[in-house]
Amino acid sequence: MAAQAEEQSSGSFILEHITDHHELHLGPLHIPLPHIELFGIDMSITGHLVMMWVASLLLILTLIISTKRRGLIPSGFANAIEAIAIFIRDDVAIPNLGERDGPKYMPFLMTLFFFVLFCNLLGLIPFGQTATGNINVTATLAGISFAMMLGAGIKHNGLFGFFKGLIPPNLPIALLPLMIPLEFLGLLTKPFALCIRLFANMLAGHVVILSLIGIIFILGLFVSPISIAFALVMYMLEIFIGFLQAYVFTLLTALFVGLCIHQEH
Amino acid sequence: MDLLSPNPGLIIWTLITFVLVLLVLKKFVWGPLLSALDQRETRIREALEQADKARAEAERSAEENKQALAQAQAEAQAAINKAREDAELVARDVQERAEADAQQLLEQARRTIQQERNQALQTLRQQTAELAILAAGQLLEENLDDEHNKKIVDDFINRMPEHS
Repeated sequence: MAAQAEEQSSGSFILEHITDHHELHLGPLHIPLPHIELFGIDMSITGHLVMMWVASLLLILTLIISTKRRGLIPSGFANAIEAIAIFIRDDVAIPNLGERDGPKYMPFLMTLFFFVLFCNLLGLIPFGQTATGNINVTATLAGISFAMMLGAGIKHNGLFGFFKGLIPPNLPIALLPLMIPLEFLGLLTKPFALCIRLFANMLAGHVVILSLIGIIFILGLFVSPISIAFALVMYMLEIFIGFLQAYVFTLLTALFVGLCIHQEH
Repeated sequence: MDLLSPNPGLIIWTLITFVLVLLVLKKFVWGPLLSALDQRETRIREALEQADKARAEAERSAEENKQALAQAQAEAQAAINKAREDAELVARDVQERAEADAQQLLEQARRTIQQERNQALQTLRQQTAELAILAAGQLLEENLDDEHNKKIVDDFINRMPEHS
């Protein structure tokens, strides 16, 4: 394995770290994961999936333990969770979804935020991988957002009313053949942008850090102080981006769901 | 595996995982947390409203106290004024009555004196007449007994000044 790695180019060393595998890579340890096939679909457990599960487990445990046995006055870590909850409610949910509908979408938005956040941050821990750096994962999350958009839009405006509301009112009939596909495309662009934004952001940070480390192997040990310093800065930036992208994903989901509910705007 | 290769299995697993996480968190975390938030906000709002109400109440009672104090002071002043007026009235009354009494006493004294004096004068006049008659009789011896002479003496006495 080691000899093989040395033969590989630096590019494939990076790719090796950011792509999904049917093995769990814990440093030099490669644990094979079971192959499962259900109804003709390859449901194999992959490294990213394990990381997602680890993130989910950590998320559930952290939140349950920190918010357990609480009175009206929060203490310790529950304060931070509550501050985020208040922020998402007052600055994300209510401005975009309205005073009445906002609180109803809070559990979904909060879960989305923390799920994305924990997946993002897990990739920064040694041996961890970023599940949100996998386009299948971000596509699924974007698909869930899209389903929420459609569901909320149809629930509030009716099936016909929702699709009618996509087209601006008082449009000349001659423009309809142009506008219908355009608006439909516009609807699909939203989840697509969500998917690509999160995927690319998570991927890019890791690629940059891995590239900076990779320079050491190409140019020699003497560049390591500079490489590591830059990698450290990038690492700090990644922590920030992990939070930022989780927030952006949540904010845009709330915004898009809000747009589907209040189509008049 | 390729960077952009689709993996339907992972998509389905992600969906299942997310929904499970959502359900678990909704039941055990978001429900209690969000309701506690609402509860606390309601509590705080109520406490603030109560504080406002209490302050308004306190201000109102302070105002009432001030008014009551002012009223009490005014009443006290009025009572003092009335008492002073009454006292003056009584004093004037007493003085007037005393003056009247004094006047009356004085008048009475004056009348008594006048009476006494008149009496004294009467007595003096009689005695003087008798003395004069006695003296004149002794001087004239006999002639002075008759009616005519007595009249002369009386005239003389009557011509004597009233107030000697």
